[in-house]
Amino acid sequence: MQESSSNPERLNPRQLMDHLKQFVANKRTTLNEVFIRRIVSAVFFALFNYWALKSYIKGKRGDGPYGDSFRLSTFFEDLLSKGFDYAIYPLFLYRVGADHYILNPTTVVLLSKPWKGVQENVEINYDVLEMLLESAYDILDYLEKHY
Amino acid sequence: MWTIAYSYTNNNTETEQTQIVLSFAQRIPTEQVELGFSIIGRYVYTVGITVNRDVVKEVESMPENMLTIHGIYDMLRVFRGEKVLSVLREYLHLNEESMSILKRIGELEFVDLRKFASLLLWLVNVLRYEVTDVSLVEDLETGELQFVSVCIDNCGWKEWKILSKFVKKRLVEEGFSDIAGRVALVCRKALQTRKG
Repeated sequence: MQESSSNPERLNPRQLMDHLKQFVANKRTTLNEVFIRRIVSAVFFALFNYWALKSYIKGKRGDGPYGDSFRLSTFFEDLLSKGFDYAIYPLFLYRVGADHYILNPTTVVLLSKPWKGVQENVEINYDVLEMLLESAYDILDYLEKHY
Repeated sequence: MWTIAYSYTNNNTETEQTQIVLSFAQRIPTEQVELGFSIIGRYVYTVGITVNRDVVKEVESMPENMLTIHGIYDMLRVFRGEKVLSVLREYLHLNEESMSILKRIGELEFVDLRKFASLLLWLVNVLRYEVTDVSLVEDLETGELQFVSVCIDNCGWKEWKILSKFVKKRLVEEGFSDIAGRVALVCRKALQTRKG
């Protein structure tokens, strides 16, 4: 456990993202929707994992017996305070769409409380995936160099 | 030349008659500026730059005494919650859904309503963006509130990047880090454009 908590590169998603980017570029016309959905979700949570580990190494603690389970809200708070609104909002929106909605296109609601929340029209396709990967790389660059 | 005039009077907080007198957003010819209004800031406003604005350059060209987020907060901090909401209703022209969300934000204390209102008024009246709606965003799996989304109208993709970075830097510099991390600026048009 000691080793796993001290090396942030263990969960650096750059290799995964580079591989996915190359894969996506090569499959532009034949990319199956299932691939797109899984890539969106995987990239979002890979960034979240990497951020969480770097937070842990910096001395922050989350929940669980070892304090190694971090909240999504803290992830957003850190990135939004640095001005990554343009990157984190689409990633979260499409991650919710990819994991929780099966129609395509569809309308994603980001609030389940009685009062009405954000509704966004979402279409999961190749162009969106390119946009999300671009946003994800912006976040990754920041996490690698400045976080 | 056009300018923006701001004024507020602090008549009587006990009777809740404190009010902002002149529209934050009102553009008036500079020759009319001397009509007793308290001018906090002025800059030349170019009509028609809405899609790919260089917000940073625009703000850098504003005079140093241009109204800050903190300046607006100093005005709003004497108001009670209901009064803050009525100021937002009057100056932002938000729909009823957004107004009910704002009221809920105040009740939940997820963000400080006065600080948040100051940001909204600054976006609309200093940066000249139109805020189309405000909403709460939660994680559907845990039900936990994540952030407040503020939708900006007519804002392009590159502009969204610049605006996000600039506004958040400004918030942090002015001592509003708590707001910076709990508010997401959303350029819906950019999202639609990038969908291909």
